[in-house]
Amino acid sequence: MNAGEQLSLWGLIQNASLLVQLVMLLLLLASVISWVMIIQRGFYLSRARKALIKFERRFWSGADVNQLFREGNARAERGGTDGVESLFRAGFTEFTRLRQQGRSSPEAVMEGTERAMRVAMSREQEKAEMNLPFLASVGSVSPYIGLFGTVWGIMNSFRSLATMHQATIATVAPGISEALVATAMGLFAAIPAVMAYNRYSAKAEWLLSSYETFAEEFSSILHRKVHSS
Amino acid sequence: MRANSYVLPVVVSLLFHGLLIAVLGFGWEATEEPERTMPQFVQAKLVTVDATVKKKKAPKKVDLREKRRQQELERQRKAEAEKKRRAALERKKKAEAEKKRKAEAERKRKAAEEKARREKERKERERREQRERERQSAFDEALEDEEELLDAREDAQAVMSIAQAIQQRIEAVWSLPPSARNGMVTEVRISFVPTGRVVAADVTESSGNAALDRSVLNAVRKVEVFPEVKDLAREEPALFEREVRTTRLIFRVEGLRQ
Repeated sequence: MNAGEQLSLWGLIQNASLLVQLVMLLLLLASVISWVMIIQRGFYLSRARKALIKFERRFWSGADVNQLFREGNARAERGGTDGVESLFRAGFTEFTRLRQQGRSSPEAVMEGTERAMRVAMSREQEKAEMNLPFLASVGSVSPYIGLFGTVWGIMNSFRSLATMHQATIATVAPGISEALVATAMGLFAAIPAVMAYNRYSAKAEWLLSSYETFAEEFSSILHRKVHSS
Repeated sequence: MRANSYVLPVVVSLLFHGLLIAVLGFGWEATEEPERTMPQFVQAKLVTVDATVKKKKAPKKVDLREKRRQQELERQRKAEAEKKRRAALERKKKAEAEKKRKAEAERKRKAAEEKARREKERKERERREQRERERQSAFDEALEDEEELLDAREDAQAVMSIAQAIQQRIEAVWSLPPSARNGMVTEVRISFVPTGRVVAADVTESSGNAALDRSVLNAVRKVEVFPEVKDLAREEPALFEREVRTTRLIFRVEGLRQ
């Protein structure tokens, strides 16, 4: 193997010790999975945001609430609804059910409705914040894993240096170079994960506060309805 | 959450990483040889345009009398020409003989010249070869000298590191007597055998303090076997014989608090 081949990226990875190779593999896996999460979360959050805006526009355009509910029926049967619409459906279903029983007082009806919406909301929260903890832990842990691989590699390269008669930079440089690949990979996995975590948690927070606002507004409408009749 | 919402992200992520790995694998060497471009050249050719238009000849007029007269004239001219031709032939023959003689002489001269030239060339070539050989041998000598120098330097380094290792080993077990003072120097001569064992040790230059000298010799005896020396004797016996078999070491008392 000549020197050029030995110092290529593949050469460095192949010559690394088993532990360092394992660390590299782990980091590569973490990077792949975190990118899966990043892309999937990105799609989900942007879809939820679009759905929210669309639904709010429809809701405040003065459409009848009953009609809005019926419109969503087909979608709900097909595969469940997402985001703000499921909030709306949960609240409205509970509201009509309680009113049909007829024996409940308006306060009890409102209480039940709000409870149903709270439940739906916590479910939505779960969905919006899914996988974000994974991104956070990749972002904070993978630099350490990479550093561990590097330290181990440098340790080995110095140990082999100790047995040499004459120590030159050329005897340690390849070892250190191959050890540093691990740190590079750790940073490579960590940086997008941290960025995505910050961005997506802000987005999710915005989404949830919008849901909350909508729930309040919707319950005030239902409140008016229950007291007017 | 539906499972198929993960299919696209998984594919995209795998593609991304594959692409990245490929780019890193092939584009790692950033310093590529700059491509040398050949100068582009145009082949030019000189073209002359000939005047291709031919002039037309005027048609001939037929005149019998004139023709006969001309025939007569022709015959006379022919006879004349024949005579001339004969004379010319004669002359030509003579000239040819002359020319042949001359050519012969010329050829001989040329052959001689050629021979001389070849001789000269051969000599020139020999001289050049000689010079080349001399230069080559000088170069080889210089190369050898340099190699020797490098070898010598390497040997010197090896010896130095061995000496240091020996000194360290001895100093590790060296217990100073209470009468030792900073700045005292003792030089000892140690004789080794190829197994690394010390066979003799004596003081070549005393520090003036007999206790200190004894303590150094005691330390040498305490170590007794030096594995570094053994390794060296196995790897480079010649070097061992030349440099290490009897080694002089200087011990200096330093770092005492007093």
